[in-house]
Amino acid sequence: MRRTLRTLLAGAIIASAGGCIEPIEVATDDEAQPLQVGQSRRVELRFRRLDVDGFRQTITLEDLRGLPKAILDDVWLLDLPLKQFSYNALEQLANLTPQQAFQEPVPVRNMVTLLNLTPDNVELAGTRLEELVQLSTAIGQPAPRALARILQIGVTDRIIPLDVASDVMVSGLIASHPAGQSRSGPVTPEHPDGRYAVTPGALPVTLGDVVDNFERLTERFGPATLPDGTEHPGFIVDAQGFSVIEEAFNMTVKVNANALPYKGLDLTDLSVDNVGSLGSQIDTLFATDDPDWLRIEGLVELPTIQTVTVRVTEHPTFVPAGDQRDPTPDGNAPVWDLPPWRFERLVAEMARKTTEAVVPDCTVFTVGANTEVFRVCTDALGWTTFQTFNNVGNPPPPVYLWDLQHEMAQVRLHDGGLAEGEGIVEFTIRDIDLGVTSATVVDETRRNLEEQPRLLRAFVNAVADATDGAADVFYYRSRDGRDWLWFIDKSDVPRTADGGYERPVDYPAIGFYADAALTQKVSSTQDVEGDTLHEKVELTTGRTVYTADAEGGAFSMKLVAKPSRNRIELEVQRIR
Amino acid sequence: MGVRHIAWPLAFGVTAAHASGLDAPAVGGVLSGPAVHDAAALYWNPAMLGFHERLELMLGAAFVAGHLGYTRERRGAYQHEDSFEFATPVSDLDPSRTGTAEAASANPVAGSADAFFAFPVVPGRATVALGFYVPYAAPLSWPGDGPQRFALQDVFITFSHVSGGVGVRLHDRVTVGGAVSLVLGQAALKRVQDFAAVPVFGEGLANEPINQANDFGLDAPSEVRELEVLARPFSLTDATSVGVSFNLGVAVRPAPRTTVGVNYDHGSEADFEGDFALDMSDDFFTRDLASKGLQFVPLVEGDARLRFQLPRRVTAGVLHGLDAKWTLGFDAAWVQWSSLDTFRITLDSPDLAQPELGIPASTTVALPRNWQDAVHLQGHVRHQVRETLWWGAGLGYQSPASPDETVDAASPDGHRMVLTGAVGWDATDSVTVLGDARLQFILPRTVEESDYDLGNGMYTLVLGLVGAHVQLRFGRGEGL
Repeated sequence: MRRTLRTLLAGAIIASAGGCIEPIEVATDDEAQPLQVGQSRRVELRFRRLDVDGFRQTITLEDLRGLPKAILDDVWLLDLPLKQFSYNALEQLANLTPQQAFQEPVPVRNMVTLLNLTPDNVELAGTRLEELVQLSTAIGQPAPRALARILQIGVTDRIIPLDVASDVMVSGLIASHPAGQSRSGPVTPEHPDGRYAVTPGALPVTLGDVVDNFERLTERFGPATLPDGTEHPGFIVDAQGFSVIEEAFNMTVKVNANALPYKGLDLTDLSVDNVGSLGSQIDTLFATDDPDWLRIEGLVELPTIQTVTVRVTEHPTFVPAGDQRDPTPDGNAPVWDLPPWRFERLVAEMARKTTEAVVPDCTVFTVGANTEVFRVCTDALGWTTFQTFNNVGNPPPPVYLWDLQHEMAQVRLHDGGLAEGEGIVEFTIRDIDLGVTSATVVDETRRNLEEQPRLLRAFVNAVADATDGAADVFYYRSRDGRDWLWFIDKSDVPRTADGGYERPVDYPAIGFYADAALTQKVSSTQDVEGDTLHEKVELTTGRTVYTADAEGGAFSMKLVAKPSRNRIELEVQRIR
Repeated sequence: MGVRHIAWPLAFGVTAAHASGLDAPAVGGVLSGPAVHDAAALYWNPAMLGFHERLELMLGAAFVAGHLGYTRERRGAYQHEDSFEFATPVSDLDPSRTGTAEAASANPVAGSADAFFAFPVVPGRATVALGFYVPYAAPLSWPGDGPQRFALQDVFITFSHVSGGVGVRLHDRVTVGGAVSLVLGQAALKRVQDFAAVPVFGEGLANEPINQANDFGLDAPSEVRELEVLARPFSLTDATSVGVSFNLGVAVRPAPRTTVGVNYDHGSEADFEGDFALDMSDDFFTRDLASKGLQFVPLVEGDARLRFQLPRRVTAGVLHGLDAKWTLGFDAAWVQWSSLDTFRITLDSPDLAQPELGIPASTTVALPRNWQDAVHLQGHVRHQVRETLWWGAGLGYQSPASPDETVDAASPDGHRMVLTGAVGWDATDSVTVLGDARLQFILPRTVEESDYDLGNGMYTLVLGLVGAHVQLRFGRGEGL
């Protein structure tokens, strides 16, 4: 129909200057050719701002799963205090019914016994206080009561309170593990090794943990080598069924930024490529003036774990209590030479922490008309001496109170015929909450990221996904009207799934130089509108600088023209 | 062929182009009119066909040339062309962009032809007629990089009529007539589309996920307009439309030497369908925000549809013979340009769709024009020099249709003066040769109240036409 119409109309119009309007066309760029040594080419770069305010970026779980794990693992959200989790776990263990406990292996049953030890139920046979049993008959005091008085607790009180036990488990077991001491993070001038200290007794939680629902917790807290070469046996044997996030999980951040990427040059072929700009704006990126600048949705209200199996190993041989007060304050007990994760050391620590509440005192046991027959004195350090009078029996040898307790624990651990070294305590806790609410997680995360936004640099670049190509340098125009060339930073380069970089980033000479030999650096990381990460140099018309790419090529770059305020024209020559 | 303002909507977005062009008086001879008795009466007033007694074939051709000038006067404030602030207040204005811009000019040249055939089925009582003519045409080519480029760069629009009609003599002195026309349109144009004025773009920027309040849209202030990144070349080509119109007329000869004619032209709806191409080959649109869902292909192509109303008009004329040699005539017309209040432009291409930003594959934009009715007045005289030779001359005035608020370089309209001249020679009893000439110009028009500063500045227009017709008559009876 249209063709017919045109034919008809053509008959009416004899001639017309405007009758030959052709559709517009777009020229296609020729494929960029590598720049050969000695060859030069002119290229134009432009700088454009799209300053967005309150831009909301929502990142879904699916988005996060698409990012390299290495980047997610570098996004530290918070150090999750584990004291409450530990308490919950031990409480659950301690509260096993006899029937439930019977289903467990002997070491676990013994652990249950240990947690529930009281003066009333303690079995002193085989311990240093075994003689107290005989003495108690002579002094007319039941052994539990005598022990309770010595320990300055009630007869039915736990010898090791659960809160003390959980504290020590956290500080001794978790904090001693490399993963409980430091975590990985972005390499920065302040952290050149990429390691960051972890709050003692806390579990560093990264975005990677959230995304994979802590599935790598077993690996993280498994056997590991400490910086001094010591092997830590680890303590989490299995952890399954974390319930922290839902499929609807998402994070929404509100940012103020120039949303457009920078225009850079891949020096190899002088193609104009994009370099993500958000990373260099990281210090001012987040709209933290809005308390709702970070919104996290899809966290379960009370994060829980379905099962976690913790293992504590004991020393291969019996660790006797010390028998000397000196050297103070620990005496000569060999237990203090054990690593903090050993069962004996943990119990000793629990005991010492428990006995911190014991005040210097002497407990006097009398018979008849106040005839003293037995005296137990504990000094300020916990060193306890026993004296008998009137031939009531042999007193136990002096000992630190905690030595008494860890000895009792060791002995009881091997009830049921376990040999020394076989008393591996491995217990599984089920359906236990992590001791923190989602609100706390969000608040902590928000606060930490506000304080350390630079931790998010690589993550932000990855999420923005604005880097395109392989630029080595890029053009920046500061608000004061100056033109700059910036050298890329590693964080500008997209990462691979295995944590590597999508292209070589080992530049032989980062930055810009005044000479072709690249010996006189003229660039620096000076602060330009908040960026102190990139090497940068100011360009003025006619100025030439030199630089090198990651493939070994060296180039001169001369600003030859300013076609407009936000454009520069460079003449680039490959010099070797 | 006479020349007059015609404004044709041509593009999407902001200032749908409407090119200065050639209006109705270009049909037939320059002295043809509602009270003139020739075959071109099919267009001017089919009632006049009722007076026909002889078969007549009228063929014509014309050549048009002109000069249009536009000196843009930017009265608004503008940011630097290579900046990109999308909401006021703008922090970095460019004072050099305010003021007088380089003058632009266009020199249209065109030619056209027409043909009419009148056949008295009942000589002196009823005549049928057929015609093929081009009442509207607008060829124009402005500088591609001129300051008017956001309104128009190039345009070529024609409307051709294929008409059939009849005139009936009800009484010796009274005739009525009517005609039906197939209106065939053809259009092509180029312009630079300012995306700052594209509502759907502003909405896309305001929608999630970009979520940036902005001033883009039809009412965008000058501060955010005409930015380099948003200046996207656009073309509409191979656009055609088919419409139907009709006109009705009545003519009276109250006295032997006096004829009065009145014609009503119903106008029609122009509904163009064509191909569009939109150059989006800027990294901003193709690459930089791809992760946010903004990623056009470098050249978006698809179907375009453009609709608007061609005006109704009532034309009246009177001819009075003073004596055997002198005849005076006066024509007046009322053209209802106010019916053209809006251009509706629809672009349809899967490549337009940016679903993550809520930009659909098809979008329709209503562009207010708010034109006003125009009045055409023309007086003319004819002198029979001798039996076979006459000459005529006319002077006319036409009021502008586009108000200051919406006038732009695509419709360089104004108070228009029209000078016409014609000469006729009866070579034989059956053959008459007519020579026509017309000169029209607008009084230089200075606009200071253009909406959003789109069309402020000074406009000039001069168009000249020369043409010739030949009338062939067969049979016996009353001629011209």
